[in-house]
Amino acid sequence: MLTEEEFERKVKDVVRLALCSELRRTPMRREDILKKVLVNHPRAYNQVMEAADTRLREVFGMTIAELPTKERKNVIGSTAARRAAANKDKPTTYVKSYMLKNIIAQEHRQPEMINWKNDEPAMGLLMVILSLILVHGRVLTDDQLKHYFRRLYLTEDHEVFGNISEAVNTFVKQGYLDRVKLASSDSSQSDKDHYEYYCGPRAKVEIKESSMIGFIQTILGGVSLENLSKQIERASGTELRDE
Amino acid sequence: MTSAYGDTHRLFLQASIAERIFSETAAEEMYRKACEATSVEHDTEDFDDFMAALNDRLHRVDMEFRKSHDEENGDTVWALVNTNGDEVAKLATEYSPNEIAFFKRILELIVTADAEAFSVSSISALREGPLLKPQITKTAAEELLQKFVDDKWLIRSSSGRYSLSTRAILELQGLLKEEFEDYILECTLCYEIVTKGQRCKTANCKARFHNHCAEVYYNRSNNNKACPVCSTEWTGKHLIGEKAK
Repeated sequence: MLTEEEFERKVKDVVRLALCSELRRTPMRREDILKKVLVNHPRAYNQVMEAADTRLREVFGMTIAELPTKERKNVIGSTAARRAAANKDKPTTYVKSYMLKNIIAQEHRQPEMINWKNDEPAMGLLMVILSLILVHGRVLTDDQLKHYFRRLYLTEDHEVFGNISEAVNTFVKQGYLDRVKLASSDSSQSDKDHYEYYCGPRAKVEIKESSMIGFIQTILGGVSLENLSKQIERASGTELRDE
Repeated sequence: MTSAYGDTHRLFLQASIAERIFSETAAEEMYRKACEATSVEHDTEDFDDFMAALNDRLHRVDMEFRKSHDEENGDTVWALVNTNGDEVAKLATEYSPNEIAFFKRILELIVTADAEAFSVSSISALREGPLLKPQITKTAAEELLQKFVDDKWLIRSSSGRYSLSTRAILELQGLLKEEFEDYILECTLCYEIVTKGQRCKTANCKARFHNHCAEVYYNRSNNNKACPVCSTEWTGKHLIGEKAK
């Protein structure tokens, strides 16, 4: 059992870990909390997390949100899906991870207060990629993505976005994009791996699909939001998520 | 009046987390914007109360806003710092143990530098990496140093020397005073740690000033340019920091 003082210490450490992880846009993993903070007291996990969340809400206006599971599990032909199928009998051990979500009311937010530093162009690029994924039925192969990059004149060393592949890698690392390696159907081509891109867990928490539609609308201009949503639903063969 | 703790405070905090340290002018501007966004009446007079209210809440998570001065230009700055006693543990969540070991070596080199230089050349800093167990390669050490600069723990000067940032001094003052008691100097005027500034030309005289504190002190009406401790002439040319000789 933790003493009151120890408990208090652990709560503060989780708060700190959450803020640090958020600053780097890396998920806070259950494992890290257990290893770095709780150490010999894994049983206190739920209680500590709850107390940390209360404090984050109250002091910072942020809440600990669990990152949604990746979509890749249902992808036919993906290595992950194959592995999952092979291990059918075993329960899938998936690592719980978290991020911080802003809970300050939208009308109270003031985005220009936050210094985005060099993030702003990157976030623009991300929105473009996420929108492309969305209108493609929420999945895009790397060939398709590259094709779009060419059409948008997003060359490898772009003057605003820098190295595009690297930017994409960063998005994957930060959980904004989910990249799945496809099992190669043709063995003669096995030297080149193929990938598919999905909307990553962090993006699902941070960016609503409705705001992506809004983003697309701003770029297209002159289309009503409702029509656009319907068109996208039809074209992509999926229904838009509405949270 | 900003009496109750609310979204105005939270907005201000959220904006502060990424910045960590900012000038008072920037802080007041952030305060104004936070008030505007949350439709709270804004009054510059309330700024201190506002910061006090924030600190009141932040203490619950062992953090606080501290006010200090930038050693280089004397600007008033605010920093969001961690306050818990276990100074090293708090870095543990941000860096790996090996990275912390490296940081501590750099810290030691900076603080114990000869002639009160309070800085370390990048060559000496990089040399430390491979000495650690497990090793940090020079390339990795270079990246890590950049990370410390980006995270505002270290400052890299135009001549490539690393020194302590205002954030490092503010946040690690406990550790610095404890572990390097014999090396840490305090400003004769403001009693804060000084790692960049001026010293008395007398070898064993203890008088030290930040540049901005020296300016304040010697501009006061009847302070002639004499050392406040030993009364020898104050040249302002005996320096602490990178330019120390």
